[in-house]
Amino acid sequence: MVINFNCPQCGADLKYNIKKKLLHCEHCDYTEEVREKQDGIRESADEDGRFHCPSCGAVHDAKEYDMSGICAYCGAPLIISERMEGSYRPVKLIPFEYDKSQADEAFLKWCDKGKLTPKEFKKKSILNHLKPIYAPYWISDSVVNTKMRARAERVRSYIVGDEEVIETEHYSVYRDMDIEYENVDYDGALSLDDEEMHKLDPYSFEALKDFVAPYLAGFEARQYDMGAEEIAPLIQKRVRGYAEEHVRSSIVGYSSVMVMDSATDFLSMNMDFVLLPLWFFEYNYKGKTYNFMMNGQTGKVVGEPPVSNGKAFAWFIGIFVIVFVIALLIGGLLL
Amino acid sequence: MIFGSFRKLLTGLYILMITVFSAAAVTAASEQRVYDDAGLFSDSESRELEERIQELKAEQGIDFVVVTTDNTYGSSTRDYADDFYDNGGFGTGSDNAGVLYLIDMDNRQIYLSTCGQEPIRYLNDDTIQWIVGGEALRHVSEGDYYRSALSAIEDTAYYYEENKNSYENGGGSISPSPKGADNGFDLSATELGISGGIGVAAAGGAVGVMKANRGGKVTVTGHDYMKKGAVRINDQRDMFINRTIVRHRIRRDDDGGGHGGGFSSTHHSSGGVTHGGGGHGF
Ligand SMILES: [Zn+2]
Ligand SMILES: [Zn+2]
Repeated sequence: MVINFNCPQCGADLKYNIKKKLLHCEHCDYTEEVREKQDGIRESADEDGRFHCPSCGAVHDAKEYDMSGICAYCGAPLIISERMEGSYRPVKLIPFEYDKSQADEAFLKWCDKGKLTPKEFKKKSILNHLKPIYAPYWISDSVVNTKMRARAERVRSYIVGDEEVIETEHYSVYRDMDIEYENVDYDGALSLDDEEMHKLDPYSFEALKDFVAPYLAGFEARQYDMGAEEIAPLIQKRVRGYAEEHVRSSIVGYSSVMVMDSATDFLSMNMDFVLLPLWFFEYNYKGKTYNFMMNGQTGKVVGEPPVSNGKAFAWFIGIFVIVFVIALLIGGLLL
Repeated sequence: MIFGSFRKLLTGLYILMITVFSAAAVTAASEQRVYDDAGLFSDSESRELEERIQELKAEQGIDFVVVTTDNTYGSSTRDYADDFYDNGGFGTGSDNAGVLYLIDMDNRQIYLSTCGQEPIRYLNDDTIQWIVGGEALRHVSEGDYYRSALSAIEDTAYYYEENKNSYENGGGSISPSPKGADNGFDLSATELGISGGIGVAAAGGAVGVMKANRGGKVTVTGHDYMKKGAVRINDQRDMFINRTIVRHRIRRDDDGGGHGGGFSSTHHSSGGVTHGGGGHGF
């Protein structure tokens, strides 16, 4: 089933408005709270991998859509309800904080910081490529127990007569701690690089809202490819590292510490499927595609901009000349 | 002669590049002194070394640098240590006084490089051999790099202080002053070459850092995900096992000049800076 929502005042499409945090009609400025909709739903059925846009009737190939998208003909939201059922239904989501104009501004500011970024790349026209996406994430709360055994030494030295005395006290150290971690997030999409996604962190999870479909009106949302069972070991690995680092940092007051062994067990762990907001940007420059992502809640940008050879050369020459002259001066004085 | 200059130039070039990269990894504000390029220390070990170095700097005013590497790009351990020190902008005072301890996994050598009037004077050849041939060597040959570095730092601090006192009490004669008299400004082809090389390296390194820093990095740590106040300590024991005591006789020099009177041999690094130092294979 493909659905979207119509305005009770004028019948145009309702979309989620980031600024107002409400469902909004761009045509007559009607607004309403975001909640599970009972009325005002337009729907059309999937027929053999094709469906009609509920607003304009245009025919779409279902393969080209994930959980939600936008009609290429009329711009209406398309929410594909059977793709978010059962374990595929997001439990919660963080709505966008950065709207298009804020994202543009944050992105241009980030571009300005790139000293080697080509001029063309900084032009405003490229901002048409920015698009908002809800990305699939797993978030996990867990309680872990870490037991660590270490040997530690405290060394002091002093002089007696013409002898140097080095005194070493040897200790056996043991720690057993329970630590709670919350909202450890891990992306569940194969197409998104785990390391890159981790760079977008942190998200502030106080902003989590219970998921209802109208949040997706006007946004592209992606379903996960990696289920809870696949992601759980990856989250555990990350949390285990956090816990052992924390326990290790509690061993203090020694000249040296050597960890003999440590073990971390998960006393409890749960996982929820959530959607997190990001602005996605794809840009072709001299035959190469560059991808950027911006945290849709904080504006943090991740991705490698292209390098302008001209600018790199200019910096190189500039620095070379300065260092060369300084080196000559210093060399002349010393040699 | 020409070959020697060229080699020095190359060394300076490579090491400057490495220093620029290493130093750029940390913001200019923080005073990094541990450069574990060979990855021999754990994060916490690096942190502890940094802390100890800061303490000693505050207490005794000695600027320590600890460097590990698994690739010196063909240069000798000594050149690598000296150039790393010169290019890193370390040291205190107008003569950049300080000491660098290098664990060179490439040439399997440890090396202590001294720079500046006081370190070169107080850490004479005998003392340096004593330091790099002692605990520092024992630990490094056992594969305990952290304790090797720690021993090198502690021993250096200790003997430095000893010899300094010895000097100040009139026990030591002033060691020969560094060779190479200042004969004014003189542009030679070698100098042009070296300066050019340094310029190329610095510019290449800086542009390289600009390129490398484009992508953004992971900024969250475990603490960001820890629930507030949700750590329960079930058991926490620090049990004393035993105490070991090592004694050794402090060496007295036979020339009657006291402990600080030993000879400090010096040489010039590729950047033209005077260094003392000594090392030991492992
Ligand atoms: Zn309306
Ligand atoms: Zn349509």
